[in-house]
Amino acid sequence: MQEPTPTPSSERSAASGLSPKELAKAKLRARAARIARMRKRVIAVSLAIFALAFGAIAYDGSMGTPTSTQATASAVATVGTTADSTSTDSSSSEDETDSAEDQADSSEAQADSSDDSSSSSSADPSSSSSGSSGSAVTTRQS
Amino acid sequence: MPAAAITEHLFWITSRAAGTAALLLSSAAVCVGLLFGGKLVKGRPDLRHLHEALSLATIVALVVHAVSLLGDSFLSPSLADITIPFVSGYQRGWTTLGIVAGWALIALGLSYYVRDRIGQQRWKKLHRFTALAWVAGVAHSIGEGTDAGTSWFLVATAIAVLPALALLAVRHLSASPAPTGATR
Repeated sequence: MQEPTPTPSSERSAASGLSPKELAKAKLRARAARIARMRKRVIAVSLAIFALAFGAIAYDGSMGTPTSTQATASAVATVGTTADSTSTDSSSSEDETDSAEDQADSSEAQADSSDDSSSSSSADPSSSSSGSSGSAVTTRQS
Repeated sequence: MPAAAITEHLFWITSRAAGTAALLLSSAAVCVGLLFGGKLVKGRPDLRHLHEALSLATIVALVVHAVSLLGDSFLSPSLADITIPFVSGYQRGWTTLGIVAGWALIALGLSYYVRDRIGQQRWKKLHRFTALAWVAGVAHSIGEGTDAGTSWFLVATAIAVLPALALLAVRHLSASPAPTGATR
Protein backbone atom coordinates (compact mmCIF):
# COMPACT_ATOMS: atom_id res chain seq x y z
CA MET A 1 0.00 0.00 0.00
CA GLN A 2 1.27 3.37 -0.98
CA GLU A 3 1.75 6.10 1.60
CA PRO A 4 -0.21 9.29 0.76
CA THR A 5 2.02 12.12 -0.32
CA PRO A 6 1.90 15.08 2.05
CA THR A 7 -0.10 17.98 0.62
CA PRO A 8 0.43 21.63 1.57
CA SER A 9 -2.78 21.63 3.60
CA SER A 10 -1.86 18.55 5.53
CA GLU A 11 1.52 20.13 6.18
CA ARG A 12 -0.20 23.22 7.50
CA SER A 13 -2.49 21.20 9.69
CA ALA A 14 0.48 19.31 10.99
CA ALA A 15 2.19 22.61 11.71
CA SER A 16 -0.86 23.95 13.61
CA GLY A 17 -1.36 20.68 15.39
CA LEU A 18 -4.77 19.99 13.82
CA SER A 19 -5.82 16.99 11.83
CA PRO A 20 -7.40 17.67 8.41
CA LYS A 21 -10.77 16.73 9.86
CA GLU A 22 -10.43 19.20 12.73
CA LEU A 23 -9.19 21.86 10.35
CA ALA A 24 -12.24 21.33 8.13
CA LYS A 25 -14.50 21.60 11.15
CA ALA A 26 -12.78 24.79 12.25
CA LYS A 27 -13.23 26.24 8.77
CA LEU A 28 -16.91 25.32 8.79
CA ARG A 29 -17.34 26.89 12.22
CA ALA A 30 -15.65 30.08 11.06
CA ARG A 31 -17.88 30.16 7.97
CA ALA A 32 -21.02 29.64 10.05
CA ALA A 33 -19.93 32.43 12.39
CA ARG A 34 -19.26 34.71 9.42
CA ILE A 35 -22.72 34.00 7.97
CA ALA A 36 -24.39 34.55 11.36
CA ARG A 37 -22.54 37.86 11.68
CA MET A 38 -23.69 38.85 8.21
CA ARG A 39 -27.32 38.02 9.03
CA LYS A 40 -27.15 40.09 12.19
CA ARG A 41 -25.77 43.01 10.19
CA VAL A 42 -28.57 42.72 7.65
CA ILE A 43 -31.13 42.76 10.47
CA ALA A 44 -29.42 45.78 12.03
CA VAL A 45 -29.29 47.62 8.69
CA SER A 46 -32.96 46.76 8.02
CA LEU A 47 -34.01 48.15 11.40
CA ALA A 48 -31.85 51.23 10.85
CA ILE A 49 -33.45 51.87 7.44
CA PHE A 50 -36.90 51.46 8.95
CA ALA A 51 -36.08 53.79 11.85
CA LEU A 52 -34.57 56.41 9.53
CA ALA A 53 -37.55 56.26 7.18
CA PHE A 54 -39.94 56.48 10.13
CA GLY A 55 -38.03 59.48 11.47
CA ALA A 56 -37.94 61.18 8.10
CA ILE A 57 -41.68 60.70 7.58
CA ALA A 58 -42.49 61.87 11.10
CA TYR A 59 -40.15 64.87 10.81
CA ASP A 60 -41.51 65.76 7.41
CA GLY A 61 -44.96 65.76 8.98
CA SER A 62 -46.72 65.20 5.72
CA MET A 63 -49.44 62.59 5.76
CA GLY A 64 -49.68 63.05 2.07
CA THR A 65 -51.70 66.13 2.69
CA PRO A 66 -52.69 68.78 5.12
CA THR A 67 -53.36 67.77 8.71
CA SER A 68 -56.90 67.43 10.00
CA THR A 69 -56.85 70.94 11.45
CA GLN A 70 -55.73 72.37 8.13
CA ALA A 71 -58.30 70.28 6.31
CA THR A 72 -61.03 71.61 8.53
CA ALA A 73 -59.77 75.14 8.07
CA SER A 74 -59.72 74.75 4.30
CA ALA A 75 -63.18 73.22 4.43
CA VAL A 76 -64.40 76.21 6.42
CA ALA A 77 -62.81 78.55 3.90
CA THR A 78 -64.41 76.70 1.03
CA VAL A 79 -67.72 76.67 2.80
CA GLY A 80 -67.43 80.39 3.33
CA THR A 81 -66.80 80.94 -0.36
CA THR A 82 -69.66 78.71 -1.35
CA ALA A 83 -71.93 80.25 1.22
CA ASP A 84 -71.42 83.62 -0.44
CA SER A 85 -72.69 82.31 -3.71
CA THR A 86 -75.54 80.25 -2.30
CA SER A 87 -76.33 82.65 0.57
CA THR A 88 -76.99 79.88 3.09
CA ASP A 89 -74.97 80.57 6.21
CA SER A 90 -76.44 77.68 8.12
CA SER A 91 -74.79 75.15 5.82
CA SER A 92 -71.36 76.14 7.11
CA SER A 93 -71.63 74.41 10.45
CA GLU A 94 -73.35 71.41 8.92
CA ASP A 95 -70.61 70.98 6.39
CA GLU A 96 -67.96 71.13 9.05
CA THR A 97 -69.65 68.17 10.64
CA ASP A 98 -69.92 66.51 7.25
CA SER A 99 -66.21 66.91 6.65
CA ALA A 100 -65.49 64.70 9.61
CA GLU A 101 -68.08 62.19 8.53
CA ASP A 102 -66.82 62.23 4.98
CA GLN A 103 -63.49 60.84 6.13
CA ALA A 104 -64.94 57.36 6.14
CA ASP A 105 -66.08 57.73 2.56
CA SER A 106 -62.88 59.32 1.34
CA SER A 107 -61.41 56.16 -0.10
CA GLU A 108 -64.54 55.65 -2.16
CA ALA A 109 -64.36 59.19 -3.35
CA GLN A 110 -60.78 58.63 -4.44
CA ALA A 111 -61.75 55.46 -6.23
CA ASP A 112 -64.15 57.45 -8.34
CA SER A 113 -61.48 59.72 -9.62
CA SER A 114 -57.76 59.15 -9.56
CA ASP A 115 -57.28 62.79 -10.40
CA ASP A 116 -58.82 63.93 -7.12
CA SER A 117 -55.47 64.69 -5.59
CA SER A 118 -54.57 67.15 -8.31
CA SER A 119 -58.00 68.65 -8.70
CA SER A 120 -58.72 69.03 -5.01
CA SER A 121 -55.98 71.57 -4.49
CA SER A 122 -57.67 74.00 -6.83
CA ALA A 123 -60.83 75.24 -5.27
CA ASP A 124 -63.68 74.90 -7.69
CA PRO A 125 -66.27 77.52 -6.92
CA SER A 126 -68.97 75.58 -8.71
CA SER A 127 -68.53 72.50 -6.56
CA SER A 128 -70.67 71.94 -3.52
CA SER A 129 -69.20 72.72 -0.11
CA SER A 130 -69.54 69.19 1.18
CA GLY A 131 -67.80 67.89 -1.93
CA SER A 132 -64.95 70.30 -1.44
CA SER A 133 -64.43 69.35 2.18
CA GLY A 134 -64.57 65.71 1.14
CA SER A 135 -61.83 66.28 -1.38
CA ALA A 136 -59.69 68.13 1.11
CA VAL A 137 -59.83 65.22 3.50
CA THR A 138 -59.41 62.68 0.71
CA THR A 139 -56.06 64.11 -0.27
CA ARG A 140 -54.67 63.52 3.23
CA GLN A 141 -53.34 60.17 2.30
CA SER A 142 -53.10 60.35 -1.43
CA MET B 1 -44.68 66.60 13.85
CA PRO B 2 -46.00 66.49 17.42
CA ALA B 3 -46.03 63.21 19.29
CA ALA B 4 -49.81 63.16 19.36
CA ALA B 5 -49.96 63.32 15.58
CA ILE B 6 -47.39 60.51 15.31
CA THR B 7 -49.50 58.37 17.62
CA GLU B 8 -52.59 59.18 15.58
CA HIS B 9 -50.91 58.13 12.33
CA LEU B 10 -48.67 55.44 13.81
CA PHE B 11 -49.83 52.62 11.54
CA TRP B 12 -49.79 54.82 8.47
CA ILE B 13 -46.23 56.01 9.15
CA THR B 14 -45.16 52.46 10.01
CA SER B 15 -46.53 51.19 6.72
CA ARG B 16 -44.76 53.89 4.73
CA ALA B 17 -41.47 53.32 6.55
CA ALA B 18 -41.72 49.56 6.04
CA GLY B 19 -42.51 50.12 2.37
CA THR B 20 -39.43 52.29 2.02
CA ALA B 21 -37.33 49.65 3.80
CA ALA B 22 -38.75 46.95 1.52
CA LEU B 23 -37.86 49.00 -1.55
CA LEU B 24 -34.28 49.63 -0.43
CA LEU B 25 -33.69 46.07 0.81
CA SER B 26 -35.14 44.48 -2.31
CA SER B 27 -32.96 46.74 -4.46
CA ALA B 28 -29.90 45.65 -2.50
CA ALA B 29 -30.96 41.99 -2.81
CA VAL B 30 -31.36 42.37 -6.57
CA CYS B 31 -27.92 44.01 -6.77
CA VAL B 32 -26.22 41.24 -4.82
CA GLY B 33 -28.13 38.56 -6.73
CA LEU B 34 -27.08 39.99 -10.07
CA LEU B 35 -23.48 40.33 -8.89
CA PHE B 36 -22.97 36.69 -8.05
CA GLY B 37 -25.60 35.23 -10.37
CA GLY B 38 -24.19 37.04 -13.36
CA LYS B 39 -20.68 35.97 -12.42
CA LEU B 40 -19.67 39.63 -12.12
CA VAL B 41 -18.08 38.83 -8.77
CA LYS B 42 -16.31 35.53 -8.36
CA GLY B 43 -14.88 33.74 -5.36
CA ARG B 44 -17.32 35.26 -2.87
CA PRO B 45 -19.57 32.42 -1.73
CA ASP B 46 -20.87 34.54 1.16
CA LEU B 47 -22.72 36.76 -1.30
CA ARG B 48 -25.32 34.02 -1.68
CA HIS B 49 -26.03 34.18 2.05
CA LEU B 50 -26.13 37.98 1.93
CA HIS B 51 -28.62 37.75 -0.94
CA GLU B 52 -30.74 35.31 1.06
CA ALA B 53 -30.66 37.47 4.20
CA LEU B 54 -31.60 40.60 2.24
CA SER B 55 -34.44 38.74 0.52
CA LEU B 56 -35.85 37.50 3.82
CA ALA B 57 -35.58 40.99 5.30
CA THR B 58 -37.46 42.31 2.26
CA ILE B 59 -40.25 39.78 2.80
CA VAL B 60 -40.57 40.77 6.45
CA ALA B 61 -40.67 44.46 5.49
CA LEU B 62 -43.34 43.73 2.86
CA VAL B 63 -45.49 41.92 5.41
CA VAL B 64 -45.14 44.80 7.88
CA HIS B 65 -45.91 47.26 5.05
CA ALA B 66 -49.19 45.51 4.29
CA VAL B 67 -50.30 44.36 7.73
CA SER B 68 -49.75 47.73 9.42
CA LEU B 69 -52.23 49.26 6.97
CA LEU B 70 -54.93 47.19 8.66
CA GLY B 71 -54.50 49.34 11.76
CA ASP B 72 -54.84 52.64 9.94
CA SER B 73 -58.10 54.20 11.07
CA PHE B 74 -58.25 56.66 8.19
CA LEU B 75 -57.91 54.27 5.27
CA SER B 76 -59.22 51.29 7.28
CA PRO B 77 -58.72 48.70 4.54
CA SER B 78 -59.98 45.14 4.86
CA LEU B 79 -57.72 42.11 4.59
CA ALA B 80 -59.01 41.61 1.05
CA ASP B 81 -58.10 45.21 0.18
CA ILE B 82 -54.44 44.63 0.94
CA THR B 83 -54.10 41.08 -0.35
CA ILE B 84 -56.33 40.70 -3.39
CA PRO B 85 -55.69 42.73 -6.55
CA PHE B 86 -58.42 45.05 -7.85
CA VAL B 87 -60.40 44.94 -4.57
CA SER B 88 -59.16 48.15 -2.95
CA GLY B 89 -60.72 51.34 -4.23
CA TYR B 90 -57.73 53.41 -3.11
CA GLN B 91 -55.64 54.17 -6.19
CA ARG B 92 -56.71 50.84 -7.62
CA GLY B 93 -54.10 50.56 -10.36
CA TRP B 94 -51.03 51.31 -8.26
CA THR B 95 -52.35 49.33 -5.30
CA THR B 96 -52.98 46.30 -7.52
CA LEU B 97 -49.48 46.61 -8.96
CA GLY B 98 -48.07 46.69 -5.43
CA ILE B 99 -50.10 43.67 -4.32
CA VAL B 100 -49.07 41.63 -7.35
CA ALA B 101 -45.43 42.66 -6.92
CA GLY B 102 -45.54 41.85 -3.22
CA TRP B 103 -47.02 38.40 -3.69
CA ALA B 104 -44.59 37.69 -6.53
CA LEU B 105 -41.59 38.75 -4.44
CA ILE B 106 -42.73 36.62 -1.50
CA ALA B 107 -43.51 33.57 -3.61
CA LEU B 108 -40.37 33.78 -5.74
CA GLY B 109 -38.22 34.46 -2.70
CA LEU B 110 -39.55 31.54 -0.70
CA SER B 111 -39.41 29.21 -3.71
CA TYR B 112 -35.67 28.99 -2.99
CA TYR B 113 -36.46 26.60 -0.15
CA VAL B 114 -38.40 24.21 -2.38
CA ARG B 115 -36.09 24.42 -5.38
CA ASP B 116 -35.26 20.74 -5.10
CA ARG B 117 -38.91 19.89 -5.67
CA ILE B 118 -39.26 22.43 -8.46
CA GLY B 119 -36.03 21.43 -10.15
CA GLN B 120 -32.91 23.57 -10.26
CA GLN B 121 -33.18 24.63 -13.90
CA ARG B 122 -36.88 25.39 -13.65
CA TRP B 123 -36.32 27.31 -10.42
CA LYS B 124 -33.56 29.36 -12.05
CA LYS B 125 -35.88 30.31 -14.90
CA LEU B 126 -38.60 31.14 -12.40
CA HIS B 127 -36.25 33.19 -10.25
CA ARG B 128 -35.55 35.55 -13.15
CA PHE B 129 -39.07 36.89 -12.78
CA THR B 130 -38.01 38.34 -9.43
CA ALA B 131 -36.46 41.23 -11.33
CA LEU B 132 -39.80 41.90 -12.99
CA ALA B 133 -41.59 41.84 -9.63
CA TRP B 134 -38.98 44.21 -8.24
CA VAL B 135 -39.48 46.64 -11.14
CA ALA B 136 -43.24 46.49 -10.47
CA GLY B 137 -42.54 47.25 -6.81
CA VAL B 138 -40.44 50.26 -7.74
CA ALA B 139 -43.23 51.50 -10.03
CA HIS B 140 -45.74 51.03 -7.18
CA SER B 141 -43.51 53.01 -4.80
CA ILE B 142 -43.09 55.91 -7.16
CA GLY B 143 -46.61 55.83 -8.59
CA GLU B 144 -48.60 55.44 -5.40
CA GLY B 145 -46.08 56.26 -2.70
CA THR B 146 -47.04 59.18 -0.50
CA ASP B 147 -43.34 60.00 -0.11
CA ALA B 148 -42.55 59.83 -3.82
CA GLY B 149 -42.49 63.62 -3.94
CA THR B 150 -40.06 64.07 -1.07
CA SER B 151 -36.40 64.63 -1.75
CA TRP B 152 -35.11 62.19 0.90
CA PHE B 153 -37.15 59.36 -0.61
CA LEU B 154 -36.10 60.15 -4.16
CA VAL B 155 -32.41 60.34 -3.20
CA ALA B 156 -32.56 57.07 -1.25
CA THR B 157 -34.47 55.37 -4.05
CA ALA B 158 -32.03 56.60 -6.68
CA ILE B 159 -29.04 55.36 -4.64
CA ALA B 160 -30.60 51.91 -4.27
CA VAL B 161 -32.48 51.47 -7.52
CA LEU B 162 -30.13 52.91 -10.15
CA PRO B 163 -27.23 50.47 -9.49
CA ALA B 164 -29.67 47.55 -9.59
CA LEU B 165 -31.13 48.80 -12.86
CA ALA B 166 -27.62 49.21 -14.30
CA LEU B 167 -26.69 45.66 -13.25
CA LEU B 168 -29.94 44.37 -14.71
CA ALA B 169 -29.13 46.11 -18.00
CA VAL B 170 -25.59 44.66 -17.97
CA ARG B 171 -26.99 41.19 -17.31
CA HIS B 172 -29.44 41.39 -20.18
CA LEU B 173 -26.93 42.90 -22.58
CA SER B 174 -24.28 40.33 -21.71
CA ALA B 175 -26.71 37.51 -22.44
CA SER B 176 -25.88 37.51 -26.13
CA PRO B 177 -28.63 36.33 -28.46
CA ALA B 178 -28.16 33.14 -30.43
CA PRO B 179 -26.62 33.85 -33.83
CA THR B 180 -29.06 33.58 -36.69
CA GLY B 181 -28.67 30.57 -38.94
CA ALA B 182 -26.47 28.79 -36.44
CA THR B 183 -26.35 25.05 -36.82
CA ARG B 184 -26.48 22.63 -33.96
